[in-house]
Amino acid sequence: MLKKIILFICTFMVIYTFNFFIPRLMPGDPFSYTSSVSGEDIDGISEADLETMKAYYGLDRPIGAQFINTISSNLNGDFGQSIHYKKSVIEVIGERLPWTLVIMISTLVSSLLLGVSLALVGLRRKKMDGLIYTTATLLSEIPAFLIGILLLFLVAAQVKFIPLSGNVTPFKSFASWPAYWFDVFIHALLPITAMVIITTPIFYFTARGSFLNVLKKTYVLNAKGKGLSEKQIRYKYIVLNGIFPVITRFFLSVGACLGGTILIENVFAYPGLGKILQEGVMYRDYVLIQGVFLISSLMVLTASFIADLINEGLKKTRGINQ
Amino acid sequence: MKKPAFLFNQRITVLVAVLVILFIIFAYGSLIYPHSWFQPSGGSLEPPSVTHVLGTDDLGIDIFAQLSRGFFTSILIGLMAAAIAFMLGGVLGGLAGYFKGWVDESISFVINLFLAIPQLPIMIVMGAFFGPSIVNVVLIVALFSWAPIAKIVRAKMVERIDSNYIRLAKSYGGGFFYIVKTHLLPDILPVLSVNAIAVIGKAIVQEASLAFLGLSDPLSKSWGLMMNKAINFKGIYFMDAWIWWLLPPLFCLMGTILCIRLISREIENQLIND
Repeated sequence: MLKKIILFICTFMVIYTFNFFIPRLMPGDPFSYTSSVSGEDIDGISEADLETMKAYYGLDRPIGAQFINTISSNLNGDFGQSIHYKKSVIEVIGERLPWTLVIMISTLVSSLLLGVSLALVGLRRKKMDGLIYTTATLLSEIPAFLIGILLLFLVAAQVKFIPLSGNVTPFKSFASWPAYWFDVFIHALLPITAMVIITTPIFYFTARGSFLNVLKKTYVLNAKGKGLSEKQIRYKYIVLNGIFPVITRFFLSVGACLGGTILIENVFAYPGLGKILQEGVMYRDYVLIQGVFLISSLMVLTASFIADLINEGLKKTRGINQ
Repeated sequence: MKKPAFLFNQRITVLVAVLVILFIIFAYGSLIYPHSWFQPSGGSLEPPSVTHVLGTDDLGIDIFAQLSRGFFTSILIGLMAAAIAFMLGGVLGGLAGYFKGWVDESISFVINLFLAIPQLPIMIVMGAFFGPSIVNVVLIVALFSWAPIAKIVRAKMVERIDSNYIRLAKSYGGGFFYIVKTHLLPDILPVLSVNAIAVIGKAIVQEASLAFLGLSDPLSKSWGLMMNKAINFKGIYFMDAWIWWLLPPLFCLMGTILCIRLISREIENQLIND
């Protein structure tokens, strides 16, 4: 357990250090971008102005001093000003993170439910199981953004009431909260669908393997011998005993899900972290990239750490039972 | 000598045949097909016709020629990234499994570190930092593909290293290279190869993802870049051009990835069964 904690802290420190140094070595200069229209380089900016701006953003100091300064201000909750958006990074991320979470959480929760139900269906009907297994194998290898593009053109471009992009209809005032939520739902529908299509197989495989494992246990045989109904065995024995690997998988999938979401957001122009990450790279907005990368890494690391904790706890309780 | 069983597996034969057919089609497209993959050879957004098999894009460049070029770009990137990951993963995983103690501890630590870092965000950041070129994409993809391989190789090594025949060989004075070559490599190599094949597929996906975000070499034609251009073309939703501009790279990508990943999966199953 101590090892896991050390790994968690070290990984975060490596990411943090990497995160600090790499944007500073990137080619290009954000100032020649900010002072121009629509991202085109201009050379109208004078040396003196450049120096003033660099001094203002603290980019003229030695790298070590910048690093220490960054750590102390980060600890105070200050992640700097976004060069492109001209707002504080925390503010920009605060606006966008909820939308990424909308996609990620709905994807993970619906994939988990769907995957577990498919595994349960497969337990009862062997033929169905073969079919689901093959389909899941094929789908699990396809990246989500390809399915997203297909949905975009085959569904969104053809069906009137499904929007092509964005998170809510712009400039529209909503009569009531339900109307607003419906608008949000219909905008997120296709991105989430694309993500669910490729995430469900992961949960299906985990659940299926775990359930088949439980089925082999003698206590299930005993339950059958006692004359419990199929239904009781399925829910009280198989699901309850076999669900933990699925829950661990839920937290382990956060990383893959985040990667998928970043791409999907760019397919549907959904204004989440993925979109600003791409924009940050395009406009060489160091500070914003740092913030987004840090937040997303922290999210993924914490999720895997929770998965480790669950596994560890499980091992302990099983040890006591034996 | 007995031939490995996977040579007789029907499904693998079919999958390899599909790849070979794709290869032949795209080799035709690159070598014999008359139109250039970087110069306009027709009007803008021409629908498929006899002269332009799959039509043209917004600049009037032939789509089929671009598609053929993209196939070799993808395969090349996949192969190179897989080769690097194969070497790195094999060597580091092997060392960690063979020498226990601090070597194992430190290599395992690095492996776990690489496994813990979320891949796409860091690849985007690095892609932006290194600048978009094929070599950089290969290096970035390879850098984030070796860790799973190393982990598997290490586990396999640890499993074998304590067996009696290795101990015997050691006690007879067999050196590191001798033992690895004669006793360990035959066991490790199949596992290593299967995972390297899987990396080819993964590398192609990752290159396409980076290219789709505009982080791959803008001058080389890749399927991800074609899709990026098509989807960012204003008004693409209101015309039919997406059918011949966007769908071909999309389906080619899907097909190629599926073939490669399924081949590695089939061989893996075959290895487990043997």
